[in-house]
Amino acid sequence: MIVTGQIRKGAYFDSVTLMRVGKEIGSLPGVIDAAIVMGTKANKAILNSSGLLRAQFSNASDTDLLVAVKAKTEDAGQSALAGVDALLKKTAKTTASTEVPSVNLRGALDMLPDANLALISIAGRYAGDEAMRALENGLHVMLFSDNVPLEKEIALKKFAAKRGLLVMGPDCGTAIINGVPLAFANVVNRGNIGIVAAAGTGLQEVSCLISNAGAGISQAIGTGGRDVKKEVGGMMFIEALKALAKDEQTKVILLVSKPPHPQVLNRIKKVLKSIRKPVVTMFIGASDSTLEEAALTAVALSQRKKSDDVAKQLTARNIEIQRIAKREAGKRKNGQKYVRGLFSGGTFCAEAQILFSQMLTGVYSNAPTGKARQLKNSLKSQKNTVIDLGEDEFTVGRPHPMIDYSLRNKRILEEAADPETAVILLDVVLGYGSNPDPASELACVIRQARRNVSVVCSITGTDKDPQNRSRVEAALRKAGAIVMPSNAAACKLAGSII
Amino acid sequence: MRLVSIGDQIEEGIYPFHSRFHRAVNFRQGDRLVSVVHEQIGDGPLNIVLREFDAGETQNALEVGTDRINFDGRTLPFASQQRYCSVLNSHPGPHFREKLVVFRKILLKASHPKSLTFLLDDSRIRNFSSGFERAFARQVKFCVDEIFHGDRLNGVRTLAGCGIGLTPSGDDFIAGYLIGLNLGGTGVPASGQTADEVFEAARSDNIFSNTFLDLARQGRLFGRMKNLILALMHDSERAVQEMTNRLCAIGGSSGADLGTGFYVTMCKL
Repeated sequence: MIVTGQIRKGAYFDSVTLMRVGKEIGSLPGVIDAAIVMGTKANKAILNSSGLLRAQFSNASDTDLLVAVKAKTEDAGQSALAGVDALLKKTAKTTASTEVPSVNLRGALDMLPDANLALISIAGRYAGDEAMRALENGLHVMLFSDNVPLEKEIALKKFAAKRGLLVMGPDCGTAIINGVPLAFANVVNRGNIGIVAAAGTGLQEVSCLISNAGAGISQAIGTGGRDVKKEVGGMMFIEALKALAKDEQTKVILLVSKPPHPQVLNRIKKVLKSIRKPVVTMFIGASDSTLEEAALTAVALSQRKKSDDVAKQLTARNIEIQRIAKREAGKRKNGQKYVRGLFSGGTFCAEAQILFSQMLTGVYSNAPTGKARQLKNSLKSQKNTVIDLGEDEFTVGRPHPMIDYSLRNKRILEEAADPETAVILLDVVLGYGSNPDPASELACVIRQARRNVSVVCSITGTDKDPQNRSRVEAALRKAGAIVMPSNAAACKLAGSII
Repeated sequence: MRLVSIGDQIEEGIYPFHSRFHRAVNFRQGDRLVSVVHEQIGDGPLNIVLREFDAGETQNALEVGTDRINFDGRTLPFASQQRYCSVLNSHPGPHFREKLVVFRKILLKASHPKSLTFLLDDSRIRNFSSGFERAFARQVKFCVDEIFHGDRLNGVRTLAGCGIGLTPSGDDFIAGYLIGLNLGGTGVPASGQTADEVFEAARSDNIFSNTFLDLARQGRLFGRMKNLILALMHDSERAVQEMTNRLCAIGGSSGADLGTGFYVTMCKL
């Protein structure tokens, strides 16, 4: 083993660059450890205590850069040192192109003249004008902002439709365009299934289920929930559908939404008649179908399998659900008779209500759908309660519950302490933008709640997500949660335990 | 280019070129630096903020007059209202301690995994994986313990210069410590002697570090830090979140390291 190194006089780099380069050198063949640091007295002491100090470093000053490599052989050490220049240049180039974000659309277009999409996330009252500027420049728009006036949305969408452009949003939280996840989105396989969704977490759920089933996504286009209302008329839902119909990579189309206004539905049906590709529709609440069933049907179609296979798969799942439900029901004490669903995803909350309405009586929610009744006080559960923690009443002054778990964690413990609670039902949404470490935030709370009640949850995500689905699942199982593969399966289990 | 603001510590004079970064050109003013910066960097006691900033190639000196500057061959006027005031003329409100809890939470979320926030949450130590990083984390922990529970100046002396980048994490932490010391209880620099001793113990050959340590010693705050403290004193939790996120956006880990120093100090005082 040898320690080799070099001094670079007066070379300045920021810490992120040096960390990145140090890590890359450390992973080179034959290298045991490496560090690139400024030559301060303190850093020399640390190099010494980590076995990376070279005698020559004593000549370096605070403003010199020290490169130290511990390697198995002299050759490996020298080869690593020889690569430092290239790595520093590479990083400097990357930094130079990304470090100065533009302050306006014009500047951004100067930096990226070939861009064809603008993602806009600014205060709603300004977002509409910025979106119009983007459209005028020939860009598709993803409008993450909410609180954009309805008239503005209509004007934007009319303008875009005339020019063959898409306006995803307002309040569009997720999309995957040409393999690039935008805003809250997951890292999924690329493939031949195209999605149009007016339901954000619905899009995330189906895209992850498709990817986890071994198929992939060509494009996933969000429209914002208001698009399928009467006033907007489904303008972008229909444009997106037409775009996927023309897209060569898309072989199967999957539509996800809460039920559109009847007039909008008629327009969609009219367009569907002219499309020759298979289309799976999932209008939550319009039928008994679930997001999972729709996703698996799209997978079967894309892989030219029989749709019976999906039915068989789900029947086998239902048998397993009944087995687990029986086991969990056996643990209930007298008086434990209700399910309490605490959701971060609005679509999941809606799907839960639809499924529970077929299984349970007395379902309440702060965002009622179908037969569920309005909760009098969102902070206090009644009978079977399903809460959408992403509603404005919970998010004013705090981050979205997909990011900040504190409010839900508190509520989990409150519900677990209620002698009438039998099951706590949760969704855990992974991907970009979501809580970076959900397992460590949830595990201790689940462990406590598990002493009194069953905890059932679903995880929306993939192993390629920054949080890694398998790792999160293992941690939550270890904490005592029953982890189901989809929101629908989790809801069915929770309802069956009651 | 248009001048947006000019720091209150920049005096009239001619300052020779020192160095150039992507979003800043630095000029020497005695043993500290005056920086002409991009708007994204923001206000500071020694910053001249320009809209449509272009670092150019110039190595000419910067000239500062009473109502104009000359930078890269261009004369840019400014009015007295454009002087950035770096002093905090306010006192902690009744909910300051509660807001500190919010600050800690967001700091942990928004900071670089290898920042000094492991001092606030032990589990973050796992982000330090290489031999050097582990030794670094041990050293920092030792120094911080020394500052708060042992020989303060020895702790500062040993912490100064710890860290890999141009402005070592240890220096950023000490700057946060100085800001915290100055704020302790009264909102005005009350422990001048302590602050001077700490600054002297931390001073090195690194002019970048010396500049911000000197400013912190005097209770002179750059915009993002001042806004954060004002939010902690008087504004909503949402404002604290926003300002913490902005602080953490400084450098790789500099903002978070400074914030950690400030938080730890405020909790110990």
